[in-house]
Amino acid sequence: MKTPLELTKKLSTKLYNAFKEDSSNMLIVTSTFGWILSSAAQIGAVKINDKIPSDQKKFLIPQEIFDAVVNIGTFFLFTRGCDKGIKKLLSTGRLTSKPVRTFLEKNMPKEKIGKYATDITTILPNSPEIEKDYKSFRTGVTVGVNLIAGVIASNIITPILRNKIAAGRQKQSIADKMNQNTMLPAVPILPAQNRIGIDNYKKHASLNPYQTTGGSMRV
Amino acid sequence: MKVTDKIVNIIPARKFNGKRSERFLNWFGKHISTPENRLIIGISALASQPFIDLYNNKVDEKTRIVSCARTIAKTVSGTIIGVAVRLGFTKLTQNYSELGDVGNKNYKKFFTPSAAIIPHKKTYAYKQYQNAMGMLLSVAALLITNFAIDAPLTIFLTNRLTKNFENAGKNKKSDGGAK
Repeated sequence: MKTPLELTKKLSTKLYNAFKEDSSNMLIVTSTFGWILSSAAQIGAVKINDKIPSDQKKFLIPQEIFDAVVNIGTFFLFTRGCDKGIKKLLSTGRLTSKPVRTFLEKNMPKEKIGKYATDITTILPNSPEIEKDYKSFRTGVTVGVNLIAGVIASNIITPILRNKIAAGRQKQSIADKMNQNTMLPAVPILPAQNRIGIDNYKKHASLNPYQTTGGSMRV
Repeated sequence: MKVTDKIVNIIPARKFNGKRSERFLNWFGKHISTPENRLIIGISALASQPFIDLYNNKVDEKTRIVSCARTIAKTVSGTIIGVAVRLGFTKLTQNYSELGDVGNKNYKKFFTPSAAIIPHKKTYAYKQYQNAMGMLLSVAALLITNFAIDAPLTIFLTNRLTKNFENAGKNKKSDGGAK
């Protein structure tokens, strides 16, 4: 059995090989995972908050779960999409720094630079200096784009989506409650022996001390 | 021509000419890691989300107040805990992933990868690894802190803020009536 130190070394080595050049992917993964944990904590907060009645909790908890799925899914898809997009623009040479562009113009046909099928990383190893420049430029751009995408996804897109969905659900919940309230119980039909006959009714109605005109009811 | 081909061709080619912009991007990639990322997202969330909830016309006023209070509470507690945990573990990784000779203090190399692949000094690649390890450890810690601290703090702040907003609303109405 491996010791904790050996396991840590193994993990450290894997992480070093995976992220030594670009940690922007890690930002998206950890942000998403952090959000999953935060949502789980918020659902727990609703569950243990004794100021919320249990009837409301039955509605709020599924709502929180649904919100979490929508928010996290939107965040991950949007930031991942932006990350892939910007990395494609960088690897094709569509978005470059000056030294990299100068190197590309000397080492490949100009019409190929910036095209979808081009991959400049195949020729960069010819110049370690330019390759180093490209990698630090790429990391800066991808971290920046991922940050902006994260801000847009979590602060604009998901609150608007969340409010639209939550408002719709709240309206539905209120409508359901109103339908339940308007459904009055049926009037019970008394058995024949308990019903007052028409003659008795007229007799008793006329004994009403508050009756002045005999009432407007025609029987 | 494929759709993706067309999309790439539509986007104008851009070359960053200035040394300043290049330096800024290089600095950004080196220094902006998960704690800074979390702080920026938290501050921008506070600047936008409560207003989206407060001016949500699809719900009544009371719901808007509670929703706004809850958003502020969640954002404040999430940002404080999130940044603190991430910063703590990033520093921990940096302090315990030393290179070179550490004498008897082998614990200072606890997070140092295998000797065969690591550089002799802290290169850019090595700093990226330190950031990644710090991020991974902080996520593991967030498993505990989110439930132990974040959730109770959110409840406390939500209830407090809702009360304050409702009192502020009542005071505003009574002042308006007095006029």
